[in-house]
Amino acid sequence: MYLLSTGALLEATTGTHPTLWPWLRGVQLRDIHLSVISVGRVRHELQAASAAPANAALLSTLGGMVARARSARTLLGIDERVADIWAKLLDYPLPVVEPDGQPGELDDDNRLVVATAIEHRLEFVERTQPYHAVLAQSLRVQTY
Amino acid sequence: MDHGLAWTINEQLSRSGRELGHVAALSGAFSATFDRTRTGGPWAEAKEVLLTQFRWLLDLVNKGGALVVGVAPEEQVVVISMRDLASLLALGNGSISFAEAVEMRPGFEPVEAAPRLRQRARASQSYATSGGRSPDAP
Repeated sequence: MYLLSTGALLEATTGTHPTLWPWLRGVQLRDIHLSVISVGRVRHELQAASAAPANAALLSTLGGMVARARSARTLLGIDERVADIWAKLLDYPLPVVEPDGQPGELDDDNRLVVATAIEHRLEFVERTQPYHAVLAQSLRVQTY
Repeated sequence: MDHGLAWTINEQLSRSGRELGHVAALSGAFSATFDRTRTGGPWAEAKEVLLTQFRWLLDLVNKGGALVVGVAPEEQVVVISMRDLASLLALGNGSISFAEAVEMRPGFEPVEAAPRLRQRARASQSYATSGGRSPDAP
């Protein structure tokens, strides 16, 4: 059972990612979970004013993914237990590598998504990131 | 009925507007056949018109279309191919892959793009400040 990270969800909306999409072909629909936070964040990214024209297709695919997840009851919201884990994660240094190779910090939205994976004991689908080592005791990661 | 299957059929029903034209054409062919035979017209010719129309509709469904017959919601039926029925049942019980389920959705369009997520600056979020007043919620 897996939870797509926000970054994985964004990249999956193309339907063409060379490693992620083939992996998603091998995992059953009912085993892929989405966080409502990731859905909102990806929607925001794609609706940005500087967005590329292709983003209309990406938004449409996002809508399809959300509909499928809703039907399969794998669309996860935030509850008190997730919020409690998130509160703890806010104080951790969680380093990431940005797409341009620069070092950064996992932002607070994405900490909420990580908290969701921890609470529901779901493997977290994400590109390899330095913070995975920090949370190795509590977060299982599937990289692509 | 499984929730997933119901959702998919609902989605197909929402696209029924253009298919209703096909139903109207079939209905017209039936009426024309009936009128011809009732008034003593050649049955073979009328039958051929009807079969041609019917084969065209079956071809449409076999190519992946869903044909909604009827207008009143409580009387509507959906005609789909056996292949699509199998896909819908697989979708309903979640036994197909996530990628296949997304690809099956009408309007799915793969895009050659490489969007990447950047993290937001943590300090810009309201709970990272102390003593400041958050802007009013929308």
